[in-house]
Amino acid sequence: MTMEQQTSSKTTATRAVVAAIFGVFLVFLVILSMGTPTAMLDNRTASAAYAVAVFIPVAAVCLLALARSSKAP
Amino acid sequence: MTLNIASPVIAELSFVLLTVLVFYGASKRFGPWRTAVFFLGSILWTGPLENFAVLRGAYTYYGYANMIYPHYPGYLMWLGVLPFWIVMGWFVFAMSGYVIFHDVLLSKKRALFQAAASGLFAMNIDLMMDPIASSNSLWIWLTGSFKIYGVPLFNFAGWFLLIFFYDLIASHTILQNKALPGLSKIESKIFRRSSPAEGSIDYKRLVFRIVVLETFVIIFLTLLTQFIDYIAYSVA
Repeated sequence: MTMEQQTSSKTTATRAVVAAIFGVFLVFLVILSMGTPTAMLDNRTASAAYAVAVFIPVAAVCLLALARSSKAP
Repeated sequence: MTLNIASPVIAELSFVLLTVLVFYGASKRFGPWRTAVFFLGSILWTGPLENFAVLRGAYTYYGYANMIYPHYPGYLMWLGVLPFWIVMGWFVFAMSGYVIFHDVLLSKKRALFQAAASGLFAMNIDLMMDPIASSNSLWIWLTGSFKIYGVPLFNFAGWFLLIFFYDLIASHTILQNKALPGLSKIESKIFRRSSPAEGSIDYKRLVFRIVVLETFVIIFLTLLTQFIDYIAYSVA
């Protein structure tokens, strides 16, 4: 595999996993919006704010990986 | 508690699609065969452990049983008492952590450090996921163990340990062939070859590593739960 092919496959894999992680986040936000707020917060808005806040480090890591994946090894 | 019967359907179908997406991306990088072995390995890694925890009464996945029609178990696909989308979820998180930390962000660091980052990453995702899932009965915590945000504390340790050790197994056995520190002495006595052959997957060694480390994680988590509860309830 050439270096270009390696970089391309790494970018594809990173895009796929980052999309999946954001997908998980969206799925759980949808489930929250249709169902019950979390046990410790008694309304959906507060529960969603908690979910977003907790997801920020994950999103940051994902975006950083996305930015770096296209660089050659 | 408002239960929406669409929630388990959305969760199950979404995780099938997300698994396909991750499988596609990973197979472009590592090849379809190694990705398939990674997936099968994650079934072998989490399936027995989660079934053990459910049968032990820590939690249940039958929150939506009988809600769509009589005898409907709540989800379509099962692996024992465990919905199959949960296993798919483990694959999605383990592979995502592997790609992000081994391949992209920490590619020049030690495998132990990469696995620890992957474990923390997965634990962080569960901090978002578990309170929503348990309050919506996608799974229900039955244990009397000490909880934060309605989720037992040992669960977060479990997330870290499961991803940490599976990441190590995958990086030393499936996606690369290396001796696993701590097990190499025992393995040299059991297996004929002292180290795995270059370029191929040693399946016997893979199963051995999964069984040994899974047993260790089950024992360690059981003891850790007792310890956490002892400390938490003593203080309370």
